[in-house]
Amino acid sequence: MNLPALAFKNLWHRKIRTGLTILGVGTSIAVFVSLVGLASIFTDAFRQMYKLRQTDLVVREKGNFDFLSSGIDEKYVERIQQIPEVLSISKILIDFSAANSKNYFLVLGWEQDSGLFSKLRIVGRTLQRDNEALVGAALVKKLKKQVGDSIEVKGAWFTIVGVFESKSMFEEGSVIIALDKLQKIKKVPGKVTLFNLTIQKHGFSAGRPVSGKEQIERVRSLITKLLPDIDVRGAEEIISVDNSLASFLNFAWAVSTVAFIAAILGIINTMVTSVLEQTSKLGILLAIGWRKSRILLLVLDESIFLGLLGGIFGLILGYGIMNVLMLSPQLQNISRVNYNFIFMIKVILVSLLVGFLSGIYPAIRAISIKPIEALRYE
Amino acid sequence: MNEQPLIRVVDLSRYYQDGRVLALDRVNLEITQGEFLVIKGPSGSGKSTLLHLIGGLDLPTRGAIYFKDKTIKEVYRRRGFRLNHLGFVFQAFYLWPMLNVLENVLLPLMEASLKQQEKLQKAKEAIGLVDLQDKMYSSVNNLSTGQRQRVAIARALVMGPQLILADEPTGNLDSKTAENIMNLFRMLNKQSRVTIVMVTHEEKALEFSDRWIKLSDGKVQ
Repeated sequence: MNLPALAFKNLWHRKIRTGLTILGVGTSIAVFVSLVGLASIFTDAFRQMYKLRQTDLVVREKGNFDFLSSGIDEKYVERIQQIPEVLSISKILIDFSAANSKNYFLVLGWEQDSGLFSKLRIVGRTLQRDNEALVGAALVKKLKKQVGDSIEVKGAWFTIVGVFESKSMFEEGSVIIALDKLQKIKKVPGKVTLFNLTIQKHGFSAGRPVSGKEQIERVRSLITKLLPDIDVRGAEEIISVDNSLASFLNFAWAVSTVAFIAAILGIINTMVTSVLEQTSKLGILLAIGWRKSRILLLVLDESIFLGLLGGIFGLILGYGIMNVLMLSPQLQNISRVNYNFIFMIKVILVSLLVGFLSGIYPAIRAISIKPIEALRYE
Repeated sequence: MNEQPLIRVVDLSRYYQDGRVLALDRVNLEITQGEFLVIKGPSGSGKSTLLHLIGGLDLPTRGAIYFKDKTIKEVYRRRGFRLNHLGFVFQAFYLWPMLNVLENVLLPLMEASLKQQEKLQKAKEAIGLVDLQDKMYSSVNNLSTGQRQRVAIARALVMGPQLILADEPTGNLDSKTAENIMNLFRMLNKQSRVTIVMVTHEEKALEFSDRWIKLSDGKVQ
């Protein structure tokens, strides 16, 4: 028998209390897993979308990081095109539309000859008229539509001329219509949400070869000089400064912090009660010659076990919650639950840390027991 | 007995509650190696206090206790001294209810730097000494009170101590079981030459001892 085995048996002996503590810790961890997990799902979905579009730079309105309400003049394209390293520019206008009282979907306005269409696998054909729409495979399935059917987008009717598959779940849950049509519907003529830029990665600057990263940075700086009133950022950066995502992440962390504190207090309460109840048993261990450090480790082992088991339960519960949330009409077309192994390992490590931190105070209490007082305790 | 004392108690006093309660009053005592000494006396006479002081669980207010030629303060400071030289048996057994007999006896051995196989061997030997081989893997909750005290005795014996300190070990037992336990202590004392100091208020225990002393109001009578 070793110390962890003794700690485990001790916890097993108090099944109900241990179970309730694991339930409490697990619920807290599940809150963290589901909220931070959801935030990471959105982040990954954005990242995947930018990767798919071969986005090197995103040009948007300055000072407005909410992509739904930001708008820039599409004429800026002509100025940016003067930079020779810019390989392609795609104009994108983004909005949401209600499918019915419960369902919403993303609406993307693309130019009819946009290079972005080449990244999609289309069954049917691309847009030719402004009353035509391409619908993502996930959305078409949900709305039970097919090529030839009509679809209402923000009060206007469109004929579905193609169904597309995309590696981006965001796109697969969306409807693509002609840019100028969406501008009319949204009443933002000549405005787009963003420009998607692909840059020539290899080049020379001051007679020496430059890396892709340096090249992108150079183009970014050129655009900023050319058009000082717009915002130019790399794809990763835009994800990190996105207001909606950042707010959601902050909210997730705030709620998770409260949940973690509740978990720590829960374990401390359980362990202090356990130490008090076992005063005489810990006292006899000291009396027979156990070192205080071993008693300390015994109590810490127990609390770490509680944290670990709570973490495992929290992961299962958290992913369960995420799966349920992703079934909701608002989220089901955006992305799917990503079982990220690294994230799971991090959650388990955090759970172990929660267990360890919670065990410190009860462990100190346990080693401050004097054998003589402990033996009188019972 | 002409052997060198294992324990020498010199002018030992213990006060409690800031000196208002005198538990032991200038006690002098010598306990020789291999002796079976019973300390008797009524409740509150100071006998458990004396036992706890000898075991290093409490500190004296005045006087000194020597283990061979060194004060217990010195020897108990040595790492593992209590583990390797002393065994405790208490009236309340203090067993771990979630563990079986073997695991309870293994508890002191968890501090020992021995191989797992050696630890198991020692624990099984100790269980054999108290005649509980057939209960090795039984939960201590399923044992009779007498058997539980035997487990506690095996736990006290497992490290091969020179001295066993027993505080009212038969206090929770019926007379027949108490007699069995006393016979066991006697047998261990004779076979293993382990020194036993037992605190009890039961007159019957005196029959099993080599010597007894009586404490009354903290003084040896």
